[in-house]
Amino acid sequence: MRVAAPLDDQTVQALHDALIRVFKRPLELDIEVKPDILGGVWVRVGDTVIDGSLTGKLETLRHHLRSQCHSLLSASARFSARGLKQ
Amino acid sequence: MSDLQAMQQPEAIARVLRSNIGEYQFSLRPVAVGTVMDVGDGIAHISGLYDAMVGEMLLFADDTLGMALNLEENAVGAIILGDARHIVEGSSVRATGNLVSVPVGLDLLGRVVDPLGRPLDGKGPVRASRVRPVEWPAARIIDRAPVNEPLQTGIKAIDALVPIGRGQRELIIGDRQTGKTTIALDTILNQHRDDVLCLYVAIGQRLSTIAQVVNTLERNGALEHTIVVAADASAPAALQYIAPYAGCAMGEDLMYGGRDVLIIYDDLTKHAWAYRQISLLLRRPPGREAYPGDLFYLHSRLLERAAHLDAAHGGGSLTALPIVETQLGDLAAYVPTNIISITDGQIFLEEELFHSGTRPAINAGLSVSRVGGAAQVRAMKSVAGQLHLELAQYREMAVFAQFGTEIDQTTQLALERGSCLREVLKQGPHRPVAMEDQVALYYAVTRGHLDDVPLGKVTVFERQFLEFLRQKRQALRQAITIQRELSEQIESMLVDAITDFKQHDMVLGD
Repeated sequence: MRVAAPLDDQTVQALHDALIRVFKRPLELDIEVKPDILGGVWVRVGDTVIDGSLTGKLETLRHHLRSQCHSLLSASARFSARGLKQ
Repeated sequence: MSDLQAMQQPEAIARVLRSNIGEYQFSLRPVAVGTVMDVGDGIAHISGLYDAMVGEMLLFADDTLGMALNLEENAVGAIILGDARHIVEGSSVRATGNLVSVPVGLDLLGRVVDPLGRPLDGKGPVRASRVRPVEWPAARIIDRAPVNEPLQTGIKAIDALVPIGRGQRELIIGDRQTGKTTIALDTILNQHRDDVLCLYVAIGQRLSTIAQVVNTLERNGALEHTIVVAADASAPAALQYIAPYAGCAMGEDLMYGGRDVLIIYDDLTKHAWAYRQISLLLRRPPGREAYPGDLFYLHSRLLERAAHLDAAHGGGSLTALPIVETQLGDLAAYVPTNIISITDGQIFLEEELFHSGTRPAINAGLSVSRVGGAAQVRAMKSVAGQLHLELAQYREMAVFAQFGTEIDQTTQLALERGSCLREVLKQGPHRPVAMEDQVALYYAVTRGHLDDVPLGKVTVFERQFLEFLRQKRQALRQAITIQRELSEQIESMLVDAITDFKQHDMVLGD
């Protein structure tokens, strides 16, 4: 589990309980403090990741905006009217 | 262009972005994430992703798409569907939980897209409301109807000798530069009058060739009922590999919507090459000619998706015209034999015929259509039914005549009839002939009305006769289109038209 700043014991306990509820099996928490995730919580269990970090959210927002813009950027594609005349 | 101009205004951009950010909803979902172990040549091996499916869409760190193909004990072998330059060892890969899918629907008509459905023609975004997995099982037996509706290619030699039915798979095979693509294109050009939607899938072709095809379609007004799916020679092998399946998915969606669809795969030799490359890089064992063991399945599962559905399932159809390129006319090579055995017949084009001026260069002896005969229009069948036999006899006799042996009058007549027939079978590119015109023309030849026309003037006769029919015998043409058989009434109208034409309108010159 990665967090941006150290957590108090109460929050850790609450998170631990919540994760056990989600994954339905006993888990051991290994907390890593990583300021570069900016905020929120990032959890990995096996190969499954729940990304609740601020960077992750910004990343999905960037992805969303890019997919919205992709079509507009495609105007520079190879089959534009100019390309056909060659 | 207008979208682009709008985007160049800063306030407009800001407004669009702001509304998008405001509306965006975050969701917190557990996602399977793996790590790239090694990457190269368009292939990545990924550790983790224990629940990945075969054919699942993967998302690399920089939003490049991938497709899981090899599921091993501790790793997943995936092909990268795009630019792999930003994918490095150790970067993360997310599983999407979806099979690789493409946008489908009528909105794609008139567009040029890549195998993932992204526009390549600069006409703005593809507005498709649905997606469909590229790999999908073929229609079941009980959902199918027999092939019984003709697909008019507008090419005289094909409609008469190797008729194609809707839902059929007919292979177009021949050496390079023998007119394979032209036949496919001409068939597309002829579909506007029959309301058949078309797909042209270009696999591993030169960009200039693809641009030319798109240009031809556009100039002849055929692009609006066509979707072009293009994976050019510079596209990653992974994209070339999924291109025919993507095109097929788009065609299937239209077929299940009750439409008649024609799909061209140009060409499957290059598709086999792309798959061989991927297979070898994924370290699958090589077999004959270094192709992988499942090469047959690669094409059979694609071509089996062509179907004619019964009325209960909408009655749509998907007709496939795969193209295969041979080397020096070698039909016995690995890929050609495979595809010949999968399809319902083949149109064999010969370089020698092409250069001797017989165009389309169809070898009538080696070309067959195993199911199309049942779909042929009855009128066509009654005038062209004997053509195969007559041409075969002609070829045999022509060999004899070469020796200068004395020939009796009947043989002489058959020889002349044969060479006249060969003349009639010739046709220029991008000039489809309607079914009713073909019937009239074949009627004239086979009933001996052209015996007194000199061989060099047959083309002139054809042009003038068809013009005459269009201008003065519209009723006859309509009667053939509606009745679709050679009734006594139509036959007498035909004889009357031919006599009238030869007496008054024919100007053959010297």
